[in-house]
Amino acid sequence: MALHIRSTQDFCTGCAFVAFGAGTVVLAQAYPLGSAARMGPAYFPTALGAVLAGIGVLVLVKSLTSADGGAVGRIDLWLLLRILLAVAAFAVLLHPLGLVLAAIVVVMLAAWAGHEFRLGEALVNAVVLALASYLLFVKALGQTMPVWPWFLAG
Amino acid sequence: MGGSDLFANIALGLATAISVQNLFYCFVGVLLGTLIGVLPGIGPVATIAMLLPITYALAPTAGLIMLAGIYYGAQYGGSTTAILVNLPGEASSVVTCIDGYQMARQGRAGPALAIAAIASFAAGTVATLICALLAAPLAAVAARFGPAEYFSLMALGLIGAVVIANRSVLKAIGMVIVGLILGLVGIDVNTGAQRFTYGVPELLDGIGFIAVAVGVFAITEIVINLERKEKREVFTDKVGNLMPSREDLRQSAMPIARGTLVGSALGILPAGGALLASFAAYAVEKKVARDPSRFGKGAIEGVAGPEAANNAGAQTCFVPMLTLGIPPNVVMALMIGAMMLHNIQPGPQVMTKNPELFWGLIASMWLGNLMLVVLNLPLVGIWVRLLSLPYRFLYPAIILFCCIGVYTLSNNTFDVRMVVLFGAVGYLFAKIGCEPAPMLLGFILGPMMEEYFRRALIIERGDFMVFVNRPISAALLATALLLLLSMSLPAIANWRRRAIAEQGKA
Repeated sequence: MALHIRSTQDFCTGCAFVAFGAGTVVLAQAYPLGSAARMGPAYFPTALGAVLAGIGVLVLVKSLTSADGGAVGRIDLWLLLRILLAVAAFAVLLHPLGLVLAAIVVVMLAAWAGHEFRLGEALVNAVVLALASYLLFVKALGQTMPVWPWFLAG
Repeated sequence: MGGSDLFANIALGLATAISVQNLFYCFVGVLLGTLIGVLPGIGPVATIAMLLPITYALAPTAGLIMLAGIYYGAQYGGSTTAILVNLPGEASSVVTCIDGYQMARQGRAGPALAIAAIASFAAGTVATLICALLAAPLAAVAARFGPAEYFSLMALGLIGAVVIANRSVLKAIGMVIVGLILGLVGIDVNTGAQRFTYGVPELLDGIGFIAVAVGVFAITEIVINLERKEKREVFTDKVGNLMPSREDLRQSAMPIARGTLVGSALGILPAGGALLASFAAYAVEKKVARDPSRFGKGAIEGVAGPEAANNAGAQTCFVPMLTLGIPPNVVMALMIGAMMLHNIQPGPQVMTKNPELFWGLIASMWLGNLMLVVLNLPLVGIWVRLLSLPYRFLYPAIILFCCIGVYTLSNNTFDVRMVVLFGAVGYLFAKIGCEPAPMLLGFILGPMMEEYFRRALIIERGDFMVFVNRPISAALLATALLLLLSMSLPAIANWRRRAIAEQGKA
């Protein structure tokens, strides 16, 4: 009987579990294992990694025998990347540019990822949200973070 | 423990909850909860994860009161949109759509909304009492638990949570273990060794659970919503007369009582909470009805029962979280995370060491329910108008507030970068049919579970039989095993498949 993948979702899950489990076991060996009575830092992760890899194998077997798990749908990497870019922009820009400008960039990037992007409307939303977050987080809640760009903050 | 203690405790709780600060944060919580309950596309998990860092600056009691308010407030808001526009604002209001929307179409939106609010409030009141009654005995039992019992209890909690609520038990258990492993990153408390930190100083305290929660829930949710590209319609709101008739009230009384019971019971169980409770209550109502064919055509029992149940469940699920330190669902896991941020070790000692937090939180839930009735009935028009706010304005705001919230936790952009990582992980997991909730449960319980596991084995000098030699531990593990085995019985497997498929339609 030729083996073929009946559920791509389960197949990918199985591979991911085996990889993550085996990886944990391998990486954990950098630390002392110890014994059951005196466990070292590697003991618990090694056990968990092994169990996870085992479950991964079971899921892999299931992916070859049953179609219950379903197929992997369309993955919109471009959309994902643009949303993640918006989050990353905040991490990178907050310190040089301050909250207000960073917030405008985050909102613009996030809006651009959507399918109903309109420049003017997004800009208004960005400015309103930037000011609102300044008033809410910095003024009202007293959080400390850079608000203006480094060259203005003196 | 005598009845007078109970009253003394409730009095302490009310005294705590009624302070100006706590009342204010309770109000903010239920207001935000109603808001996100009304808005589809953002749920309580994402909101609580997003706002948790802000509560860090508050006193722990005020912070937890506000976070709890978001959770049960969302149950109210969710039913409003379910009834008026057939859109479940929250997953737990899915069943309310069925008969609530039909009532609205027959021009009875007002009574439907009023019954939903009355049912929620009645159930909330009873559930608050149940919390107060159950908490002390449960905590007393738990206080006698040793590390072996705790380990087994957590194993049962995790297995119970994944078995009931997930499509594939095997994958869900795998996700729990992924979470447990991620939870191990950082300094090992027993030996002081650094694990999986690779010289990154920000990882010494472990991966931030807020970054994980925001990534796999809020960010992933947004990407998935955007993928669907659906446009929401703008509609007009006509609520009309709010007053239910005497007949409505008579018809709803028993369903409210039954829903409260079902919801309270299911809230306490692992995987319990609002979602499961509302489905079970609807099924019960349909079963006991003299004429089941009325259901789906605007039967008021179909609104009253599930609405009572989801609110009761949303409240009683605090009991295992507060008394045992075991979260029955993801929202409770986040609450445990919030307590740990404030250096409160979750478990039975919370009640004795922080009685004002414990009883104040329980009493605040009742006050919060009262505020919700006032917020939701007269102001329903405002909430409905919010629904016409397009998602393209909403999600950039969610992303921005997530970034700011995560940043303020440690004033470090490292956690924001972790959000990027876990946003990607969460999306890919969603694509291969792996649900993030079990992972987060495992992630939060991971360090505690390892701790109890090691302590149990140190005491017994490495004898693994400790987990089955001690009767309570053995019973807990046996229950977990039975739960797992029962899932392979054809009858139960079929029932589960149907229940989950119904949820999936939402």
